[in-house]
Amino acid sequence: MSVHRQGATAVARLREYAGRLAGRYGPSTGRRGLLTLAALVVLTAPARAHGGPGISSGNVDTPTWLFLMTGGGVIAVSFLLTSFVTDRELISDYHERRVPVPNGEAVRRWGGRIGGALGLLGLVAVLVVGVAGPPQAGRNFAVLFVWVVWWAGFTASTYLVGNGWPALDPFGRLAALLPDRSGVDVPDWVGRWPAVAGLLLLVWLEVVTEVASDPRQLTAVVAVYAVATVAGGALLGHETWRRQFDPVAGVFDLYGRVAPIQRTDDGLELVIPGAALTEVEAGRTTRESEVGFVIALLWVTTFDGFVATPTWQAIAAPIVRLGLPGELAYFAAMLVGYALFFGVFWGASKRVRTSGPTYRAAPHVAAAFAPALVPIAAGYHFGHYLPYLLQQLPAAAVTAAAPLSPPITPPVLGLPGWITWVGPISVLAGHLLAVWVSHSRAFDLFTGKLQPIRSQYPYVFVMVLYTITGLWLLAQPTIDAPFI
Amino acid sequence: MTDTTTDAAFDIDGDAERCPYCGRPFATDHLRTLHVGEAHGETMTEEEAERYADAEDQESDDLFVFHLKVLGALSFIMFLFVYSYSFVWSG
Repeated sequence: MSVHRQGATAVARLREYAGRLAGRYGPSTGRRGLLTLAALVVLTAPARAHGGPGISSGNVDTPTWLFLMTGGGVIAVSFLLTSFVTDRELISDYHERRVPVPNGEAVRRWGGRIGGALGLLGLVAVLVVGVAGPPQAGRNFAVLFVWVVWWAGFTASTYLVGNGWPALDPFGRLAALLPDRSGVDVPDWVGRWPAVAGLLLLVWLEVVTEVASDPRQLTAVVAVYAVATVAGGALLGHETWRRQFDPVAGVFDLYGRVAPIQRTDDGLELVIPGAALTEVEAGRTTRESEVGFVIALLWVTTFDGFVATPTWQAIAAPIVRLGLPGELAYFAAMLVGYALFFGVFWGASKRVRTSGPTYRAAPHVAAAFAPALVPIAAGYHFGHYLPYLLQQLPAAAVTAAAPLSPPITPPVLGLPGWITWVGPISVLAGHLLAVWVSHSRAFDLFTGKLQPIRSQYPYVFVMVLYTITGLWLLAQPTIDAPFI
Repeated sequence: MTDTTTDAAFDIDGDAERCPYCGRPFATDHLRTLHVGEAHGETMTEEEAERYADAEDQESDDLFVFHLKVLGALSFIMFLFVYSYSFVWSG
């Protein structure tokens, strides 16, 4: 199995686990374990009686509808339970409690130097090994470094620990060598849409090309991205590029808001995970495009999984038979799905005006609550990539030692059984954090106690929909992305 | 909030109840009274303080009723899942 299949469809593997959990792949104690866990969350005492020895000795299948209903139920129940937390002091304490990290300034200064050197070293290694290294993905350090170490491992660190990208970012560092002239003025309406387009484009490329398995193609994409960053920074100004055009920095910036370590003006501070999401500066460009970027982050995670389902094959088959190239069908699906996700969220934000009731304008409401969706994307990412990271890390380490002449079959780690739990649990955990962040944001924005709770009705509905969609994707059998 | 004093953040149809201190529009008088107490507690008048106290009483009564409904919904969901799982797992 090539790294491509392992990398691009890390999602697929998780789905396989979940499919097993949902009873599609034969006997499964894991499935009942998961459902017992979910039921425990939902039902507390009665579930324990049901998960007892009498039940677990039998080998029964749990239908997919019940698997999905349980996921949706957990979200609905968590919303109902958060409605008991109405103490404004307690809630504001949650996002205002800050502990400065001692010597944060020194940590940042040295982190920037060491991280910057590591980042540049990594970039050079990818460019050199990508071209000069072996062509097999599973043996090529460039491929393993980009997909395993960087996209699986480093990304997880941005939402679990803190966003270290500004310290590492070799592209930004290269761009900084050229003077910051910002000769071209970007109109206001452009907002963050270029970054949205860039993110959708990168994920589309990842699915339809061999960029995840062919070291040469990967090197080309990395090189193009480096040139674009340098040219963009020089033409538009570094800050404008980073903030409005660069999809990678944007993703890490958002993920970093989930993390417990946050940057301050001159140091670092510890916050409660997710607390920093309540103060994302939504008005920095246009509200529509800021919301658009969050939705793009959420959608690309889903898209990656969706295109490897039989459902997608069934939808795309007649269109491709009519003569549309497969790549374009994927592109259309990417755009339609994104429009759907965006539309649903925007519609919910409009509904808040009547469910509150409030006069707050829909774009302001949407911009205030969109960051609450980031933990959901983080939960999916963690569920998808943790097994992949653990499995491939030894291969990355071994090929790093001899990148130009790696062993024929670099070692991979056999995964223990408990890994099947990671996916569904992290998906649910992401949603639960999202419900809580949204709840505390509502108390910041609205008056009294009932208005903030009622304002959440449309969003809870949307989140239940997202959960069911996500779990449905997990419960689907996995196929290779068709028609390409 | 930085945008409470500007109308840019709001989309008003019909007559809005306005906060006498910051001009923020509200859909109901009840919400405005609560807002005055929450956001301008130190500058409000005696009369406003009284009305705020009444509105808060009203709010906590409503919240109590709301929480009863939530408990009802939770019990319903609980039984829904208990029966679904016992039905599916025993079959």
